[in-house]
Amino acid sequence: MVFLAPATVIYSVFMVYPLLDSLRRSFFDDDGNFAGLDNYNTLFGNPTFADRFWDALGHNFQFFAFHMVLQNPIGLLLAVLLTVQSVRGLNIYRTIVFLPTTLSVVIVGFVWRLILSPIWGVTETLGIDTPLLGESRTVLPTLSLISVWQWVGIPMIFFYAVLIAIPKDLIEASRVDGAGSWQVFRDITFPLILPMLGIISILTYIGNFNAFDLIYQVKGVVAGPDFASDIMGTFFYRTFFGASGTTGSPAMGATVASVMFLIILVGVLIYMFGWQRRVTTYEL
Amino acid sequence: MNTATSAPAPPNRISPTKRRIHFGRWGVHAVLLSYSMLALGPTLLIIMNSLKSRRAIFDDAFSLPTADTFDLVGYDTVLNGSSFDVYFRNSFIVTVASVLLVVFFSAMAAFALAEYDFKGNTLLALYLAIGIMIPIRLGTVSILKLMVSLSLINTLWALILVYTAMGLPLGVFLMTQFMRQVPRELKSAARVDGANEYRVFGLVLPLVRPGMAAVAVFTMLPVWNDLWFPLILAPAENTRTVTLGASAFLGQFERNWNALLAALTLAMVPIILLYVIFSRQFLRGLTEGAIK
Amino acid sequence: MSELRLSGISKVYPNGLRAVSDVDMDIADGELLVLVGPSGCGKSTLLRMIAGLEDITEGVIEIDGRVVNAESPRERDIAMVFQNYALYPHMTVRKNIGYSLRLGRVPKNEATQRIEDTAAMLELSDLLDRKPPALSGGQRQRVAMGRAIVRSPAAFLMDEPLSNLDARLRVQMRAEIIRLQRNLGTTTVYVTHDQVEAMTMGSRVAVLRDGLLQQVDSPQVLYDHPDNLFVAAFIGSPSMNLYQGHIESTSTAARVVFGAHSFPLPDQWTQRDGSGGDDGQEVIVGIRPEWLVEQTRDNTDLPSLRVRVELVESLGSELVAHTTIDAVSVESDTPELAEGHVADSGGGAACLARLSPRSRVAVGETIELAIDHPSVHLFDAETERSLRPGRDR
Ligand SMILES: Nc1ncnc2c1ncn2[C@@H]1O[C@H](COP(=O)(O)OP(=O)(O)O)[C@@H](O)[C@H]1O
Ligand SMILES: [Mg+2]
Repeated sequence: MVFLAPATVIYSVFMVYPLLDSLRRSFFDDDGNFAGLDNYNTLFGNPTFADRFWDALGHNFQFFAFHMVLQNPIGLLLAVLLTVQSVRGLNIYRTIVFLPTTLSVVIVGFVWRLILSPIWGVTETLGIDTPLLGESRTVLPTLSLISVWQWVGIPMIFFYAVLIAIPKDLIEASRVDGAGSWQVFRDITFPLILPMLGIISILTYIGNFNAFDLIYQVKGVVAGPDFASDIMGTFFYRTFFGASGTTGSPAMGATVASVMFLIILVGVLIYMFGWQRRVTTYEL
Repeated sequence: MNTATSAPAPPNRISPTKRRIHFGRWGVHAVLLSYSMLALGPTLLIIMNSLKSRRAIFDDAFSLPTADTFDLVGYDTVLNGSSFDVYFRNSFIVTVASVLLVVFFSAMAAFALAEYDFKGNTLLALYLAIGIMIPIRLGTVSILKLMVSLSLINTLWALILVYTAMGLPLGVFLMTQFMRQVPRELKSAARVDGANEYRVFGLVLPLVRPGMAAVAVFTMLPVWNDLWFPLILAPAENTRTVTLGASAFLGQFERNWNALLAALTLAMVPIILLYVIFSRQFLRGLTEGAIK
Repeated sequence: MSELRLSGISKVYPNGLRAVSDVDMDIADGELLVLVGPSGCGKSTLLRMIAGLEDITEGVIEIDGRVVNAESPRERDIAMVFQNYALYPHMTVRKNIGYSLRLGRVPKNEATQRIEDTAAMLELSDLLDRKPPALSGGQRQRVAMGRAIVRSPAAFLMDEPLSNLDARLRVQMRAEIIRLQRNLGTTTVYVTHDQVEAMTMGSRVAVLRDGLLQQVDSPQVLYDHPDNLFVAAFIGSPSMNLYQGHIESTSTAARVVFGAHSFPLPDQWTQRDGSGGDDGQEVIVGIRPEWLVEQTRDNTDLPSLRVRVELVESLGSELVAHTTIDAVSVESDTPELAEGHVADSGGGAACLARLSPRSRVAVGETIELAIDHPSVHLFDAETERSLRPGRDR
């Protein structure tokens, strides 16, 4: 099949093969000898790895929680407001709200790093006197907020897409039936966008467990202070390439990647069997 | 029927709807406006201050540059001896090439998947779709080894190939949805007229333009903004993308605020301009892709 | 029950489009009023203003003497049936029908009872636990009706509720709606673009064109005495034959002349004082296809038209002859009205005739058709208003 060949070949060689090979490598040592579960034993048994791993995993779940609690509801709220009929200038807002999403993480990271820097004093003017990115207590929430700020455009535009696809007369029918704005949302709009909520949640989950760039950019690979902003992505990178004093190990890197693979797989399975089975998508 | 008693009597509030509607509109504007300011504020703050002298940046960050405080010293520093033009070129090549490859290859694959009923059709579609859920970064260890053995390290090709592989699963999935909507009669008519499969494909392509636009948009963003693969596969000075270049470059000016702000502005403004110019098409692509 | 009164209603959309202009209309308690007009003429806009879904630019809407302009739809207590039914896809039929009762905090027992009564009335009892995607078009339509009926609202508003059904079902549902409306006695405004539907359903029919109300009357009056050219051409199927003509009057008699034809105007025209019947006045002559009969020995006293038969459609109960006549036809500016007209072919204007199935007309023949009607319709060529005598306007 000439039509299928290019896509299948490139996908298989540069995506499927590396993923499988990566899994394989997690069972071998750096010299290519079969090592059974040694790498996994090291990861979970050796405190230098295990502590960092559990920390990173915990942080990553916090990072995800921030996105679920803030990014997606805010995205939904903005999308709902953007689809309110009879208000002018909505397209301008839509463009502006999405703008941060188009900026690269490097830029976003740096912009916020400068703005939050105690040296500049912008935060002081705004009444914040802790170095938000400097203290272990605040660094992860702050980075999460920055990430939310950047990515809120994605859930917004996704929700927006389903919202504008809901026929206007459904909404009108419910208004004639006696529903106020809140009831229309609760009884009509929300049930109809529920499938999209699931899709956005799983995309957020995958995205968050894949996150790296922002933390790397703002806090470097050591994800300071004192690993307080370390998440799976930075942990993976350090394990693979090494950082400040430790040497990297491809085999251990592959092991971490395999565990991340498993974590993401669990999320996807929960989504597919716990959610998708129960939530029906309606043709509108 | 006795309707007088059984009608669901609406609460007889005297609150005039007019006022409520106006409050509603006003409220919508208020919320959207505040969020817009939050979205734009940081960016504007950077751009604004990049035009000011060092003293003014620190004295009063929130004021616009005035004749007194106007200063382009940051831009001087940045433009002398940076390779932003190279970075931009690299990013541009990588993004355009990957987007074109993804769009074209997924259109081809989707055409076959949507058009022909062959054994394993569904299986192949599933195989290609798995990649939507699994981040390619998890295969980095092996990708690096693979690129080393292909001698593609520090070439743009390494990035293009990886990004193409990364974009294909979603691309094929989206394109298949769009391809399915092309009327069957049209293709049949073309075949009856003696068109071979390549011609039929050529005929269908213009009809799925919205789909191609959606795929292009979905591919473009993560490619342009990626830091991970440039950092690992092509960190050499002459193959850096803007994202990596800016990252490294900004690192050098840890203490020079004028230069930092100027560099950030230079990195942001082209993207913002491009985005604002094409935002309608861009957001339409996203919207159309999102509901598939 | 309720009475609706619209006074001076206009709608200007934010883009400046004036969709409805200065409409005055009273709808009596329990009446079924049909609002008809070509698509895009503002019917839905008017209906949505009554429902409270669209702001009213000018004018006042009253329900039972209460001005409702500022009330939200929930406060107006009006039910609406939408063209696409607008059923909530995620709710069962039971919930669809009961949604307004739930919002209105009707006690559960009573709500259940009312839902079941309504379902029984519409023969939906077996479908109550299905969801809309699992229903046929006709069933969906019934659910939409049920959703309106269950509330016993002040009024029903129906916006082309049958236009998505196939022809057979449409006729059946038409009768059903009439029956339900009679039994419930609920004031109803029914919108359609189909004049046949309008004529069969309405006790009164309001004709709307470009946002302007043309005429509100019973179907028979609309048919017999259209106020203007538009109503004349819009009502009736196939639509009226219209030709340019003028009046020639002498001191004793008046004739109307069009193309090669002319016939005397009945006496009443000449007695009319003022505008009608002046010598040389430009008029438009309207002749309904069903007035035309084959000329026989018995009706030689009737005015007649000489036509050439181009095409004969036999419908069993009648025979529609497409003919051409030596005259200049009036081009209708509404595309929908033009359908059914044969394009002017060479020798003259199209003329449609509905003849008895026993007629022996043959294609290619030139025949005489008699006008078996007391008077043709005459309209002022300029104002397009009817020159109907005897009824002051
Ligand atoms: N929301 C709107 N904004 C601007 N123009 C509209 C809007 N809705 C309808 N129109 C225009 O108003 C006119 C009347 O529309 P409508 O009431 O839907 O006609 P009908 O129901 O008779 O077909 C049409 O020309 C239509 O294009
Ligand atoms: Mg309409």
